[in-house]
Amino acid sequence: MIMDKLIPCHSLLRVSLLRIPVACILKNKVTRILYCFFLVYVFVIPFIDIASAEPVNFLGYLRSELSASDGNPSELLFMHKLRLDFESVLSSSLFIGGNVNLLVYQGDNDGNFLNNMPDSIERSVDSASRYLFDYSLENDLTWDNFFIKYILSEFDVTIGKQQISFGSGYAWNPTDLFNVKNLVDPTDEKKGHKALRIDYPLSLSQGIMFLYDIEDSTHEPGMLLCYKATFGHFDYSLIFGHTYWSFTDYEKLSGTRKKRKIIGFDMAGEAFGIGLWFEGAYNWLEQSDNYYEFVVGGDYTWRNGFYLLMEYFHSSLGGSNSSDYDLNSWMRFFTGETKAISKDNLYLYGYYPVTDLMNIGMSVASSLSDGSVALIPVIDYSLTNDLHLEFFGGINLGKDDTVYSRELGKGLLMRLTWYF
Amino acid sequence: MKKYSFLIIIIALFVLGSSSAYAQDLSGKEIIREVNEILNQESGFTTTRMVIQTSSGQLRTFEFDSWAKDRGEKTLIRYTEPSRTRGQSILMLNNADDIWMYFPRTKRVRKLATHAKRQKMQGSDFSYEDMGSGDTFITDFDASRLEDEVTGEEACYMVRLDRAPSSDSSYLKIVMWIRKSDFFPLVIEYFEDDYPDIPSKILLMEDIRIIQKIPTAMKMTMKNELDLTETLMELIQVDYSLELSDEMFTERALRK
Repeated sequence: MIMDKLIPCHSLLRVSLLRIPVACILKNKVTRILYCFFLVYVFVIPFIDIASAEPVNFLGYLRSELSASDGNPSELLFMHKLRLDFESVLSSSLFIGGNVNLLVYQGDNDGNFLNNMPDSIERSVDSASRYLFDYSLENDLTWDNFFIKYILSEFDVTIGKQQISFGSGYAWNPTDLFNVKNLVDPTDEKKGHKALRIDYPLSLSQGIMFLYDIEDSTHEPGMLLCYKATFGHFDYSLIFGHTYWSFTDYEKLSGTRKKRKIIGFDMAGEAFGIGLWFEGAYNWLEQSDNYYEFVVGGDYTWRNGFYLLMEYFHSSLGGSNSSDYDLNSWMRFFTGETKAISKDNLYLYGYYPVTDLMNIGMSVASSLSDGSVALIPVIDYSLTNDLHLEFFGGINLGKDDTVYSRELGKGLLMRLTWYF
Repeated sequence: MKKYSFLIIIIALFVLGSSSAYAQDLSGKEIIREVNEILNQESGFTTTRMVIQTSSGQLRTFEFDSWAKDRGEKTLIRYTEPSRTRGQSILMLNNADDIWMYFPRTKRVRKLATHAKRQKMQGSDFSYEDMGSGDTFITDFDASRLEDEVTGEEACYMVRLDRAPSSDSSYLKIVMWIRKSDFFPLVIEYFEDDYPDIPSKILLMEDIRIIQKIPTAMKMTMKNELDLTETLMELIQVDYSLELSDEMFTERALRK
């Protein structure tokens, strides 16, 4: 197996399944427990105020997902996910929260990345090496998030495994050094990051955020500084940061880890009644070509409730046409090393509330570079107060060898979620 | 004594006559200003239960806390129930010309354009626009007075609001029945472009109590005449005496 993570959003068959080992930073169990006690003693107990503390709240959801595809071979996969969240306000200045995820798979949980690529790319790998592209989705129990948030008079500090998200882009976020989105459901949760975050407001409409991320490595942490301000009806952010980026050559089967520096700019607001946003970033890579990415988007809700969102994404790393795509283009996209296969990409999303309980919608993902298109019809229905049913389709309409090539087949994802 | 009684009657008649004349003279615009004053208090906190009755008769229940300041110019809404929406928050500033939404599971804050106000609030018959956005009745509509009516046992002013050309409100016009005794609106009819002669929604203000000297509708029912659904908003807790800081209405507070 090449990678322990999988982002096969392109095939529209399986949503992001990022798995994190349960093991913590420290290897020895006794040391780990003592270390936890020490951290609680130093960082939590002094801030607890018994009089104002609230009981621990437990909430979460149980989700069953069925994904099916008519690719070659056809696949049928069940995924059951239990997300158990807890949160507690220990005092006016201390909040603890987190969640555990249990993932259980049934059906075709073994696969091969090559099956989700055009035939020409698949044929470029000799049959003896094919097994290197196998993946397996295994049952898993993970601490997804676990953080302590200090709300001090001047600033907030969040320590621990936490959700990190940046940027105004809906389907792509060039300024987000830490996550990659899934085009089937861009609003889905991301994996938690071990990080320290400080939010320091400068005024009511300005602030600075600092992030120190050790999710991938304690020796090579990612760092980010963001200045955010609101002027007029727009929010503006200026982002500086660096991280260490794993970049793999799947043809030579070798990987490198390069320092990636980034300067980014983000703005979101409204003009002429239309929601508008821009998010762009320039990336400097160690011993490699620099690259840039940007997103321009807009959205609007009509008086009858119809909502439409449109986003254009450009990545200088992507291919200009289908002849530029190779095994690396596809594999780097699947593993989240890059955000898109092609240079110019378009995403459209529209929905309409047909009843008070049901929305129907359609996403259109397109590579403008090769002219291919995929349709993703969406239906979501509220069965009860806490029971939610969603359907996602996936129909690739592009020519052979394109990003959304017909040969990749069609897919269906059905998701039933019970919130508690 | 008789002389004084006569004088008092004369004075009372004069006062009543002048107030009646004042009431007669009030323009639609002036009445709506009074309504706006009552609906948008300096600051306020409410806990609200929202029960949606769907066209198929199913019920959906939500609860949220909301804080408002500067006569509705700043509003923060945070859902507490059900668990699917718990922690979701909406911050509206500048009379809802600037809107941010916070999603707790992804810890993401998204800036929304004002057109998002047209979206239904959790599928209910209230849109975010209906939730009150400060001076909307004044800034987005031209008010004109209609002939007075009596609804129930209450004498009411009737005021019609026509959408101003510069407004992007969802409503073509609004008609209000406003209680003469305290300028509290009892019934509001909303008309949309597709059905200019039939109200698409009717809001009924009920169980009006005086809380901290301020008339407050403890129950508000929005009836959707087109979808045949209705949503009841019931105030569980109301407090107009809280002193809310401006820091309460920032992105930092939204994330709390």
